[in-house]
Amino acid sequence: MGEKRGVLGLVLASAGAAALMAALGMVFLYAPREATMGDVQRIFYFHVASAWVGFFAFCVTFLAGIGYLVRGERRWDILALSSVEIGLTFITMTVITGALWARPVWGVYWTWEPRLTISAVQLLVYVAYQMLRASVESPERRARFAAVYGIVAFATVPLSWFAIRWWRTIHPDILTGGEGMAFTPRMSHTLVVSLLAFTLLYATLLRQRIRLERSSDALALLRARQPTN
Amino acid sequence: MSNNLVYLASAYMVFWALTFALVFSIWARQRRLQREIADLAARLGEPDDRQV
Repeated sequence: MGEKRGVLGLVLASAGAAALMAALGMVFLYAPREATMGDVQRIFYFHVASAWVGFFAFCVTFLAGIGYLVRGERRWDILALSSVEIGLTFITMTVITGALWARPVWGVYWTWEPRLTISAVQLLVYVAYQMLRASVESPERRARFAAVYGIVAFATVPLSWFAIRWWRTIHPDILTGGEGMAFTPRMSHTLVVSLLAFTLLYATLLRQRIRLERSSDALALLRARQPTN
Repeated sequence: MSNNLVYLASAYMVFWALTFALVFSIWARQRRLQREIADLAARLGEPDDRQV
C-alpha cells in the first residue's frame, strides 16, 4: 500500500514538473508577444494560474470544513489546513506578480480598486485562519472553529471572482481578455497548459503537506505513550 | 518597453522563490518530524515502521 502511494506520488510530482516546464516553454517560446503591453503580458499566464490554485485551495478548505462538521474526522481537518497553507502561498504569489504587472501597465504597483482590495482582504482573512488555529489549544475545538471559519472565509473567493463583473474596475477579465488585450488561440493554449501545470503542482504539494500533518499526529501519539517520569 | 523585462523576470523569480520556499519548508519540517519519531520510537523500544 505504502509502495503504491509512493509510486503515485512520484508520478504526480513528475507530471507536475513536466507540465510546469512545458508551460514555461510555452509562455516564452510559443505564446506571441502581446501587441499593446509587450513582453510584460507574459506575467499573466502564471499570475492567473496561481490565482486559480489559490481559489481552488480555498474551495477544498471550504468542502473539507463541511466534511469535518458532518463527519468529525481528523482527516477532513488535515485536508483543510493543508490546503490553506498552499492557497496562501499561491494568493501571495498572485498579489505580488499582479503588482509587478501593474507597474508598467497601469503606472502603479497598487491601486485600491475592487479586485485588488478583495485580494488583499482575502490574504489577511486566511492569515487569520492560521492565527486562529495557533491560538486554540484543544484539538477538537481548534478543528471545529477552523472548519466554520474556513467555510465563512470562502465567501472571499466568489467575491473576488465577481468583483470585476459587479463593480467598475480596471482589472482585466480573463474570460473576455480585457480592454486593450488581444487574446489569440496560442495565448489560450498557453493559459490552459499553465492552469493544468499549477493544478498538478497543487496536488503534489497537498499530498506532501498532508503527509507532514500525519507525521505530526504520529509523533503526538508516540509522545502520549512516553512514560512521564 | 525593454525596461518591462525587469518586471517580467521579477514576477517569474517571485513564482520560483515562493514555490521553492514552500517545498523546502514542507521538506524540512517532515525531516525534523521523522527524526523525532525515530528517536522516540527507539526510546520506547518500538520498531519505526510508521507509514505516513
